Amino acid sequence: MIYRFFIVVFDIITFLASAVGLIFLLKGWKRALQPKTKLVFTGLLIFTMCYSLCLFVEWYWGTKVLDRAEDVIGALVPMWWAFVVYAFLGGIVEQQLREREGRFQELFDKAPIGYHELDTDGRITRVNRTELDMLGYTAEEMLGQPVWEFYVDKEKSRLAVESKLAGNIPPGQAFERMIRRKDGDMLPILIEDRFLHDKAGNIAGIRSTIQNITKRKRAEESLAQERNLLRTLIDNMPDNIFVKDTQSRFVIANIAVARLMGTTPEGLLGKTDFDFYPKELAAKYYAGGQKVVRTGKPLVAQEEPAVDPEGNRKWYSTTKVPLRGSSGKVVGIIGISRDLTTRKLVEEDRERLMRTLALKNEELESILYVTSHDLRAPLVNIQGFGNELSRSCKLIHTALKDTLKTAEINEEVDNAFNKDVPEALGFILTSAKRMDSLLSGLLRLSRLGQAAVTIEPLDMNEMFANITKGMEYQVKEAGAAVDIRSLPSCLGDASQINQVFSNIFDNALKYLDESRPGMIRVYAKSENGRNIYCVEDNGIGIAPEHQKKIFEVFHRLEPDRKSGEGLGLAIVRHILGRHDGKVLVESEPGKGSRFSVSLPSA
Amino acid sequence: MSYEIFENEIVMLSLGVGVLIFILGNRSRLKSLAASKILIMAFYVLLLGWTVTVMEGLFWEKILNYIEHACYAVSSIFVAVWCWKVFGKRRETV
Amino acid sequence: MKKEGVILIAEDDEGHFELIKRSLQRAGVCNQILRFADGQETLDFLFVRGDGPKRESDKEYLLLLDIRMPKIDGVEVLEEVKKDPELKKIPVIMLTTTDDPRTVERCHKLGCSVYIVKPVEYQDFADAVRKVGLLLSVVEIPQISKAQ
Repeated sequence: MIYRFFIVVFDIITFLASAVGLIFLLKGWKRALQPKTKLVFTGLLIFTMCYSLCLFVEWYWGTKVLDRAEDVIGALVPMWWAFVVYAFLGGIVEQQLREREGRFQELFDKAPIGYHELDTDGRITRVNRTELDMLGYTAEEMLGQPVWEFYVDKEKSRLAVESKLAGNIPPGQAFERMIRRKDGDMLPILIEDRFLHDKAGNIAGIRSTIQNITKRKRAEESLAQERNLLRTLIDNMPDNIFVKDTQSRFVIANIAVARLMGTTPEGLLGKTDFDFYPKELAAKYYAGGQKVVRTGKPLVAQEEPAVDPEGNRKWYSTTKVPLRGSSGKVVGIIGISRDLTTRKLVEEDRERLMRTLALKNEELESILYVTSHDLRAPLVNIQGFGNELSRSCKLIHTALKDTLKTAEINEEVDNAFNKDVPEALGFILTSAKRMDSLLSGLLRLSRLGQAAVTIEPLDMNEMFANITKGMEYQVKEAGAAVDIRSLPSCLGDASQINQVFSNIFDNALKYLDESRPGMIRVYAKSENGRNIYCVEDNGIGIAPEHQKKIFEVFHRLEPDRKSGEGLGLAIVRHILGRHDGKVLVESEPGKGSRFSVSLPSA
Repeated sequence: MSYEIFENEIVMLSLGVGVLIFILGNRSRLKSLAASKILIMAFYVLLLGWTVTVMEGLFWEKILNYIEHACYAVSSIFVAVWCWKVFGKRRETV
Repeated sequence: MKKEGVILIAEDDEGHFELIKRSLQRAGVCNQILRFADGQETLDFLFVRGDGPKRESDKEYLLLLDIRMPKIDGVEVLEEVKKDPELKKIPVIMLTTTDDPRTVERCHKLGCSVYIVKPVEYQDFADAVRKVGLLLSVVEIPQISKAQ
């Protein structure tokens, strides 16, 4: 009995639970509108009913009819479950489809590109949100309108679209158009289109994407401007500017290069130096360029020869720099060359002049040298035979002394032998000697030119001490007082500068004024990296008209009074000329002179 | 041995097995249903009941019968719960 | 120098030669003096070639050499002489107007015995030659062997 009781309880629970479920279903009936729920509902009913029957059948009746009913309903239950599952599955699938469609819709509307479709009449059948936003229209304003109504150039667009729809122009290539927004602004757009086909394969319309290329257009414009600016700059520069690829073919060239090669900038593209220059020249350029490509190191300021279309020789200073691509590899060469021809020509001229000058100098010096020697030889004879004459005369004189008795003749002969002959000979000999000393002086002068100049710092105090010591005797004889101040060091050749100051000092001693005690002062001052040494005396002075002449060769101020060849100051000037030095004389006749020598400081 | 097998019970079981296969084949899709676990559990229990009711014809009649009715009860409780979950709470779609 | 020794004087200027000769004689040198007017003649004599006079073997010779001569100059003669293994024994006295230190250096390098610059001043000249003469009287000169 208890067993039976529990069975009944279970059945009652079944019934009640189903009833409760049904109630909930009814509650949510309005909300869940899908047909599936109806099935659920129906199923539940069946469920409920079925198991109510179970109750009765088991408890009260065993009637065949109810039994049969129970069987049928019992079989329906699993069937209903099958329906339920099937319906649910359908629902799920539908939901998934809807989701997918939702995503696609989102993709369509929110794509980062404008999209529209046209039918065979060119009317807009579909347009996405992006395009609507781009153009500022609503969907109603665009749908159904012919697409060219929105373009700036309506006619052109209409013809193009109709042509495409007719199959004349294949779509697929992107093209640019100007489209008008609702607010009137014009927008540059890039359009790409494809055909729409129907199931039979015929053209059913066109689908197009549009992109707003305002920014790109602006960038293009500014790029073009920049390029134009650069091009103008490059073209108008007098220097040759070019870019070559790794095979040394011209990629870019400015007008200057083209002119040099005798063509236009366009005529240079793709060609190499071998097409314009003789082989050896072109080979040199090629080698230089290839080296840059290979090593990746620039070739800076190479001086290279070139030939212009008229065949004139020119010189260029070329700088070649490697051009690297975005990967960092060398993809070409950039080159600039400057025309050095004028400068080179001037240089060449100057070199030639220097060489000619040097040659002429050498010639002069050797002439001087040879001449002075050749002129000396006869002097030897003059002197020598002069003496022989004298000797022979003496012999004759002594021999005749005894034979000549007559007083008159004796006197005459005596005169001749004792006065005339010696006098004549005297003149001959002194002249010869004079000539010899002149020649010696010239020789010394010429030798100076040949001597090397070794520049070193010189202690002037020491030098002057040596000079005055060497001339101690002359100083004492002239009775002169010598005052030498402290002197700064200078740069020069020791022996030659010594010669300069010896000569000047010697002159100072020679040309003292006898009416007063001689005073020679030596001092120096420095300015601007140069030292000026002054030798001042209170001698006889030099008249202004003579001041220039005293530096000439062989010029002597007082030939009768003083010895010397008159070469001293000429030598001084010659030496200083080779030394980056200068000499200046200041003098007043009767007062004295000052010789100022300017030399670079040490 | 008293074989008391009712044809209709066999039919119910067979159909039930068919649905089981159907469910098992689409398990992943069904998971996306709201509270699908409960509903499917309800079905499993129901199936168990049908199995048992067939078997009670072979042995352990009383006990199995007991279990059978218990299963029906449990199953409908599950369904009720599912209904409550799905229809009681606010949901847009099923 | 023995009395048989010969003094060879290469000097193109007649006047100079005369002066030298007289001075030598006055200094007491009485050896035979041979004069050559240019370098070519000098070399022909020494190397025994050409048409003119030729050197004889087993004789002592001394050479007084001027530099500035036509055809072949004194420095070249010096060079040629000092190159020959036998002739280089001959003492060579350079007696010339050139006082260029480079020439002096060169002649000494080539092997001259003495370098004397002819002074213009007569007395100095005469003194110089006289000294040469004195030198000659005391100097020993090797004999040079057969002329080829």
